[in-house]
Amino acid sequence: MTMRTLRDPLTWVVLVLAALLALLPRAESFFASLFPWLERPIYRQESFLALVGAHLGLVGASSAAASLIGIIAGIAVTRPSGAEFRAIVTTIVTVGQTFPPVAVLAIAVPVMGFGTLPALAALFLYGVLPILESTIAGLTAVPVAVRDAARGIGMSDGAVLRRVDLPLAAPVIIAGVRTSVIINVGTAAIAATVGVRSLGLPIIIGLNAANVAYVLQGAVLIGLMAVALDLAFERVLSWIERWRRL
Amino acid sequence: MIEFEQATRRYGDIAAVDGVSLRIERGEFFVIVGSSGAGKSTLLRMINGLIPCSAGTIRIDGRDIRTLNAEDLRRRLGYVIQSIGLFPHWTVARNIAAVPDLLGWPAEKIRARTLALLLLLKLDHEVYLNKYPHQLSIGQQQRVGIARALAADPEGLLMDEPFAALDPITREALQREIASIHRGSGKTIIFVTHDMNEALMLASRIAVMDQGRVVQVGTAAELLTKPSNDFVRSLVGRDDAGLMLLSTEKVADRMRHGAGEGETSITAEASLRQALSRMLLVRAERLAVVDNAGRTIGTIDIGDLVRRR
Repeated sequence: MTMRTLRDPLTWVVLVLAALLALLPRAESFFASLFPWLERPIYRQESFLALVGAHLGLVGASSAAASLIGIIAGIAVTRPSGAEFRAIVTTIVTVGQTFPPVAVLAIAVPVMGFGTLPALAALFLYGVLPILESTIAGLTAVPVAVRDAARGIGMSDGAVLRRVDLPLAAPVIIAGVRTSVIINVGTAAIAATVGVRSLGLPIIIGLNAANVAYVLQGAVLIGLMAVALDLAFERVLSWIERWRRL
Repeated sequence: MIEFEQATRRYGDIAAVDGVSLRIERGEFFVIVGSSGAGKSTLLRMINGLIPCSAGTIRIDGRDIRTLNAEDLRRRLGYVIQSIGLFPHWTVARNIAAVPDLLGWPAEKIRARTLALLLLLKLDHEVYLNKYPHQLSIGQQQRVGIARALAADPEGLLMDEPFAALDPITREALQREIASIHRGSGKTIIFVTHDMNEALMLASRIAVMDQGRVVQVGTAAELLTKPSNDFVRSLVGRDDAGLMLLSTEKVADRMRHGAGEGETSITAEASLRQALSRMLLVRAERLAVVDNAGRTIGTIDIGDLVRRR
């Protein structure tokens, strides 16, 4: 390992996460000493590794959909032809964000049934707003003179978007995706209430059974995942910085 | 050749450009001058279709611009604006290459053209090629802006107050640069400014705009000696119109060739106004005229400045 990887906080957070995943199942005596009144101090219904994978899958799928829709909608409403829809689209998305995900689940489950779909829908609705807003903010912050020059020297609308607007707005847009993903890592825990596997399972089961150890194990892993993803976005931002100069 | 026929642009009830008819010949340095809000920029942006006509027609080489592909039209006319608008995420080289890149030129040709333009605009390529716009002074940025506009060898240049944001010294340098580019390339240049001195210095013909209309078109001398109304008169300056007139002619136009007389010298390229200023400064009625190499080629007398040609 080079010095650079050693100094990188992302390396350390991932190592700590991996160590926890390996050690938690063997930490029975440690948790027993912390919570002596608990009969089963380690969550063993499923492996933590499988839960981390399921959690990541849930966040990945919902954030990918939210990014796709948020960015496309953001681009659309900042074009001259889409400008009149900007207010209505922002309003709809803001309403989506105001609905607590738990309420979305409560409404979605009777319609869609139990399972992954309502959970994904709730996470998607909750995640679109920051992405849409950052896309709009990023695109409208492109200097007027730069866009005027781009059009004036003969770039088509598509070329202005690809070569000027998106590269200049990219850091702001990615910041929105980052916020959205981090929020969703936390929110994905509630998917467990409708029977979807995620790191929320130990938390929900722990809450129902008054088992603090379960809650702690789920929460620590979720927190570490959020930190790791946040640091990973730092990396993405520096890639973006290099890409936009091409 | 660019032809305006009753070209009009309305915003609601207000006509920013109101029934303008003009003919700009190939190779002219045509300056549109007027106070802010007169419609100069709007008129300029109507030529490359950035602002469409509400009524009337604009033709380029006899073809209505509405029948032309907007992007092709804009690539035929380089575009330079006051706020410059360099692409902040690209190097100088990439900025200049923007249009050739859109046109799909091969990399070798783009590189050769970029280097040639940096040379033309007196930017050392070893220093500037890989710099980003924010690392340049405003004057250097506008040099790159002009290079970008010239990159694909357009038929003409549209320039919207390109030097208005520059300090006087940089502005003068760039004015000389654009005049020499015009002489060297013979490209049509359409140049918008609110600065009458700039117009007089650069233009082969000037159009004066007021409230969306063209109130007078003519050479600098015509505007100065026969202003068509009070607005034009106020623009050319009541008191120093005569001095402005002197600045439109060069020493070379009025000098007497032969052996030089006079203790102080002036170059043949200098304006008559500079010659007069020199005479006043050194209290001399005659100056020796030298060429660029410093050789004496003639004389100019204070009477030569006043004499009707």
